[in-house]
Amino acid sequence: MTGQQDALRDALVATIPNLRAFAVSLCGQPALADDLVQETLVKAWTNLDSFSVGTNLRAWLFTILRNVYFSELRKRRREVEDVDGVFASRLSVRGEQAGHMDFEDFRTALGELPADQREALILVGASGFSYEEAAAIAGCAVGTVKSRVNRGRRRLSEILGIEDETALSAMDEPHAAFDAAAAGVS
Amino acid sequence: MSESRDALGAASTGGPAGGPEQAADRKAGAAARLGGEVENAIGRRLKAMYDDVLNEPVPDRFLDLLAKLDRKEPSGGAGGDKA
Repeated sequence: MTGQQDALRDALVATIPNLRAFAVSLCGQPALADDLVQETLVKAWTNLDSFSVGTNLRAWLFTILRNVYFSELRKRRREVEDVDGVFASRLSVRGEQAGHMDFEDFRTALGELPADQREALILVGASGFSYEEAAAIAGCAVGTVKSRVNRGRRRLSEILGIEDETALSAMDEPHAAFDAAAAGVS
Repeated sequence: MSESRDALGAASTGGPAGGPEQAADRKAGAAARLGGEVENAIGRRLKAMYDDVLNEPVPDRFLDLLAKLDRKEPSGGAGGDKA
């Protein structure tokens, strides 16, 4: 056991809050998210020799986590027809709890995005990665990340009913945006 | 008139033409661009949701896991060199 290894372990621990935040935002389910983090840590630990010291540990770990998530998603897609149904089912239970409404609406809307758009939005908009870093993590071109971010934002604004700025003020009144959205789909 | 370096100049540094996703974006054009206020509103909510989890303490489950992993050497070529 070397000092360098201790340092890496400490760095792993320090990254766990980031990994959990990424995982929950990505998959929408806290329990599943922690399983993703666990698998990521085990994979990282058993492949530490493939990490080059001096490069971005956080980006490396995020790459492992998103790879675990996307392969999990593909597996589940083969097993279950409607993966997004997990998210969709929440639409019916969100009911009348004001206060948390806005927050829950946002979570639900994020869950309705295609996973690659959700990933790009989170990496750039919440995890604080540059477009270049996000592209390296997602394994795609920088321009693709930008497209996904733009499409993701647009789609979110449609789902939340805030495409134009006049609708925004309504969103700050807990029920208004929800009522408007409900009226829109009925 | 001086040579104008417009916003499109910057976009062309992204490399070759780009994939179908980007092409679709270009077709959608400026009309589909969201206002800054809308982008900000989405950004704030995204960050709030993320930070909510980010600020939670690390569950013991992960500290236990790392302690357990710690007792094993990481596998792979580099680990076996010498004690």
